[in-house]
Amino acid sequence: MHRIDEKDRKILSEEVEQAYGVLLRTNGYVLMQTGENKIRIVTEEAFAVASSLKGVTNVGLYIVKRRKFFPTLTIEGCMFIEKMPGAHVVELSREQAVAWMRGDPVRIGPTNSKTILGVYRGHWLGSALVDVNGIAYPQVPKWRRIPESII
Amino acid sequence: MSVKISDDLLSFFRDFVGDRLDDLIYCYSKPLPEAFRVNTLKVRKEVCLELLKDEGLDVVPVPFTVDGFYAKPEGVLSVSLWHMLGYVYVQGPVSMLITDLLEIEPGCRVLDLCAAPGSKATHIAQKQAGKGVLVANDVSRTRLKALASNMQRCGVVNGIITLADGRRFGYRHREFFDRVLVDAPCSSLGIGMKDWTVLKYWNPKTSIRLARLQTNLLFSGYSALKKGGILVYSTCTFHPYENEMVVSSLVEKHGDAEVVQLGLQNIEFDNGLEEWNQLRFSSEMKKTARIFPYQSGAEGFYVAKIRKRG
Repeated sequence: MHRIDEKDRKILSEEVEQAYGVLLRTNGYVLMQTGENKIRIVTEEAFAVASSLKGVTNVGLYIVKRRKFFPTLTIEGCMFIEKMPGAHVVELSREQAVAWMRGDPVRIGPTNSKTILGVYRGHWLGSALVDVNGIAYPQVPKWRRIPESII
Repeated sequence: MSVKISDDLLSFFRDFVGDRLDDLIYCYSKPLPEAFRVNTLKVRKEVCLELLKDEGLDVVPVPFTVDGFYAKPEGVLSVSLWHMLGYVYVQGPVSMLITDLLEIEPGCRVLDLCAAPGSKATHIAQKQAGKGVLVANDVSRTRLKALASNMQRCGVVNGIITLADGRRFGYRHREFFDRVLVDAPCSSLGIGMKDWTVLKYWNPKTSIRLARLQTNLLFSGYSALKKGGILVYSTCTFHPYENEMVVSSLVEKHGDAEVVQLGLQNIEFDNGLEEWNQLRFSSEMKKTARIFPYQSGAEGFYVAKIRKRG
């Protein structure tokens, strides 16, 4: 568990802004880098308490995973973003939203960005990678996907 | 298929619930109603209820809880989009009531000593509204995964998950928490409808063995509680060995432990026992409550609320 300093926080915000066109608002919270380049966010008080405890396995929320060329934003990561004009956000239909949360590829058509955020009725569904054919691959972890048999 | 109940358990129930035995067995033969709460860490209650209505769900408030709702048709909610996004948490209605009794306020420092899989822990976090600290502890690494997933899904930003033996945890952090929840492992007779094997294989030794663990957990949890703080002890079982005997031993050992009257509303319950089967407990036990499935229409629980004077 490694606390991210102000300089690195700024770099992370820039990476998110570049990838998704949104601002990452994390002021007042502590950001930590954990295993597999995952970034977690936690309140100052919880961070201080966690530092004094033994046997801590997890602290706060996993919000971003840093990858080689772009970061991926988790569904909870979207709780800390501010949408900007020109953000890479795709409004989804109900069918697309359900497919997204099943982890299935979703055809969204051509976009200007390889990374997008999905929104259904104003509710954030996390991030996806888009291929050259305009198909989005949602980054939804297996444990929180809607089971296949459910439509 | 019908419910199979061990001879030992049947004999205990005959003695313990008397003429309500048929009601109890009937409750065991029915599935639990699907209840949920809206996770206000992520979405406003009115907005979420509107979303659920659009999904075709009929939603009715649970009368004896602050945050609970029943959902019909059953089985839809737990695989819905909104569940996966963490907007709703499917949880037994009496289980929600337990957390209500902790009187959580934003800013409280709270310990959930046996937290996995996280139903009550995430409810506590919801009541904290992102302020204060929630330490959710469990002894099982496997169960901790479910806890971590639920804390993430519910968006708990002030949560800490620890892997430690709850019997020792409290002694390492004496008088550190404003609220402590000890929802102890138990023989699960109150949720026998979920798993009939607990009814088939129960014997008195099960409860005696668990009582030792529960007593150690309660004493440890009490040690972690600040003066003036509140501790709630709960189990989803009925046997006095696992309930009154455990709480009574704490009250007798710690002069500063005060059992608080529960003030449950809109639900039937039995007061805790002062004596049972030649065992005498503290007279304070009548302030605790035992809720049977035929009283709640859902799970059965035992609950005691204790304040540390000072």
